[in-house]
Amino acid sequence: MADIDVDALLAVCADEPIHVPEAVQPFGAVLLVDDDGVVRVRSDDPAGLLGESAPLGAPLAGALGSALGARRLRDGSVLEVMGPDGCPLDVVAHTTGAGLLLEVEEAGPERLPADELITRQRPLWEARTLEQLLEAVVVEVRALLGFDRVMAYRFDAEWNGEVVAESLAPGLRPYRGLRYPASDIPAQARALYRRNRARLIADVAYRPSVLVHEDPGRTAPLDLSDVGLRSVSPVHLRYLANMGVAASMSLSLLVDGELWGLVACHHESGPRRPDPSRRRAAAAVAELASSLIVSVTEAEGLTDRVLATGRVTVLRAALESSDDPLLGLAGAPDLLDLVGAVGAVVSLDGRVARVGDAPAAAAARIDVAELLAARPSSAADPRPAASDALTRPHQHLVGVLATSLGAPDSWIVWYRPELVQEIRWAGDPRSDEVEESADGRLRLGPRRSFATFVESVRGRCRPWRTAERWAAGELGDQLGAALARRTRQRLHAAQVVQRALLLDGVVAAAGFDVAVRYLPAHGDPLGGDWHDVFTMPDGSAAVVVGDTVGHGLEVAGIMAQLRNALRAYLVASGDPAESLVRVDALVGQLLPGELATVVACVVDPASGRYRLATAGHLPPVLVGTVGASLLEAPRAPVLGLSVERNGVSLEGVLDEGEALLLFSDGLVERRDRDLPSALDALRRALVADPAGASPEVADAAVLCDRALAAGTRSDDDDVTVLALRRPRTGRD
Amino acid sequence: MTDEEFRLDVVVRDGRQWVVVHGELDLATAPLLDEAFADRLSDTGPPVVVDLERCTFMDSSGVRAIVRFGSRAAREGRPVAIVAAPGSPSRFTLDLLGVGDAIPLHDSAERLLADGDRADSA
Repeated sequence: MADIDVDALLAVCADEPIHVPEAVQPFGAVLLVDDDGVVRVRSDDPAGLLGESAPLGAPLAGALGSALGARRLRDGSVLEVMGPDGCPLDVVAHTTGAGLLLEVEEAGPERLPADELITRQRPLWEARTLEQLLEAVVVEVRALLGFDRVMAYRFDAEWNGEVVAESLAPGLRPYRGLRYPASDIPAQARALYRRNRARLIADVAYRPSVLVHEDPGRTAPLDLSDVGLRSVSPVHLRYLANMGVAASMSLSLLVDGELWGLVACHHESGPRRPDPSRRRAAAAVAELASSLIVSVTEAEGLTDRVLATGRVTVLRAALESSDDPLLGLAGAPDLLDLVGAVGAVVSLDGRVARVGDAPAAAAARIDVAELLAARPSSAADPRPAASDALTRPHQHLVGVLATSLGAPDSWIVWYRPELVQEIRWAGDPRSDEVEESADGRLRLGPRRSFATFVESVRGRCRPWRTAERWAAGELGDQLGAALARRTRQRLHAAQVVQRALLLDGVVAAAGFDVAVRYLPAHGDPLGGDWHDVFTMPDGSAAVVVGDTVGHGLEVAGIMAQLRNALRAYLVASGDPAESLVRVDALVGQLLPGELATVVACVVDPASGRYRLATAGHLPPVLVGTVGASLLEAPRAPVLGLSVERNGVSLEGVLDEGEALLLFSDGLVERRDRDLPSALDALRRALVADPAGASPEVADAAVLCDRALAAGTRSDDDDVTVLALRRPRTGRD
Repeated sequence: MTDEEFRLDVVVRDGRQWVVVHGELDLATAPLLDEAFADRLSDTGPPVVVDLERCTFMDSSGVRAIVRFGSRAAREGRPVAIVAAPGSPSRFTLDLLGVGDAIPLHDSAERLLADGDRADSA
């Protein structure tokens, strides 16, 4: 069997023209009657149902003929007439292009009582879950038809079937949980099952009744698609026989016009032909089940959605109510419960948190990029993407579900472990036998053994359900909206605070050339930097640059308080170091736990005498005509440390034409460069005169721009640069 | 990004709890240090040492986390110390901000143990 292409043979099997077999099963008879009432085609009639009433080439006679003459039959009409030997006959009519096609069989003593169908359908109406519904179907169908075994059989996405409910006679081996490979019901059989929803094989060992045409040149082979008596594929009969089945009936379960499953009835103790009225009732039960599958599934889905919506609301609240949205979200237990995951990685604007059992952030980032990029639409699309089996799993974590949060580098990815699954096949699905058919072509024969074959499937997780994917997408939508709102709020607040703290008033001090530059951090319009420039009551200029630890709205109020307090103490004492001692005490009392660095300087415009103090802040640069140097004030710790501090300012003289440059650490702080060398580069850039022509110190605005150009700033901190130049008397 | 390298280890050794910071301590990772500190405060283990010898970068949010922890621990009468090598990025920041004025700052784990033992025997 090694050199035989089984898939090609499966395709041959799928090509078998099972709808035009030119034969029917012998428990009934088929007639084609043309518009003049003349019989043009009829089957053999081994049961003798027709007697002499239907000779080829002549009008129908007897009770059948009278019934036809009396009524205008429509497609699907059912009538009962008395047969030639006194037995009642059940007749089903089909209209075709060539005339009326009649199926005739004996109506037995097992006629269905008039009210029984309603009784049999009631349990289906009462079912609340899919499981209950299918259980009711198999029980009621078995009660109607009397088969030994009735199974509800559900197809998966690859058309493999699984027995999901079963009712059976005592002593039979249950098939519940067994799977049947897709090749057991080839594509053209499935197409027929969609069209013809109830099929009986009363005896798998039957001899087909051949159709006889009065004039084969005049009538084409009959399309028996809609005919219940249609003879079936010999492969299918042997398949049933190999399984130990003597009679079978199958009823289609259709959802949205597609085959969802089957109700499969097997009789193992011998042939069985339930009365046609009972078969029609069973078909009606299956039809009701089909429509109830939709509503029950929807109801179950609705319950899932209500539950998920509640969890999404909790998670959104966790994000919105937390100072740190990332930690708020990562700390919420619903994050994993929402989709039934064991771990997750969350990224908000590139900041990452891991929750539970999840791979490292770098690995998760790759998973997300691959999953979300695999989709046709944009990366901001909140529709989730999922895989049950990662090609590169993280040890036991093989399943992944990812959703974007609609903002750059903002996403959630959930993980599920491998679920080693045992699939119980009804026989080894690849063991079908190859055989030669009458026309010499190879084709696939049914497998002979249906002994349970257990296949172990590895490397997959429990599949992500539709409801879980929906929940992930909903969470992406909701959190995306919350994040966007938060960003808008922060932007608006930032504008207000910046106007108040940074841009209000004129940046000027009498007798000096002053300039300030502020650059916000990337993606964060409100950093911790602040500055102040004003003229003191005695005519001195005061300049201040401060940096509050933290950023965003939470520090805006702190910045405002520090700035105003320092201004008041400078005005009151006139001395920077003493003012910082007082501000520090204030921070300890009113803002415990907050830290701020400050550099403050007071300069007399007439003499150039200055007093300078810092608190944990980088020293300013004194820019002279011959060089620039760092002004190392007595070292004092950052404000808020609650330690003793020395209240002595550095004193000196700023000569005419010299300048002071104050700045925040954002100007020189970068991860890949050490601070001393960055400060050195800054110092040299400030004296360098690109033209080499003027020995004069540049204007304050030019100094600021040169500092920004020379700075090693990165985008992740805000930057303030403040220059104060003392003009030459009579020149500037 | 930087978060892959960041890691916190808590090791009990030589009669102290060492909170060892690996990688970059910044706005993104400082909250994790806050959490680790909260855990230290909730138990009654031995004195805590914040070990920054393997910390490759520290900004002011890292300093704030350490200072806040230090002042809370001080209120509860529990000693805290910092280890940061001279010339390292984190040591530069600590010195600039004057953190050593508030929390004992040691050049290395060995120096801390030696100084501590001298203090114990004194």
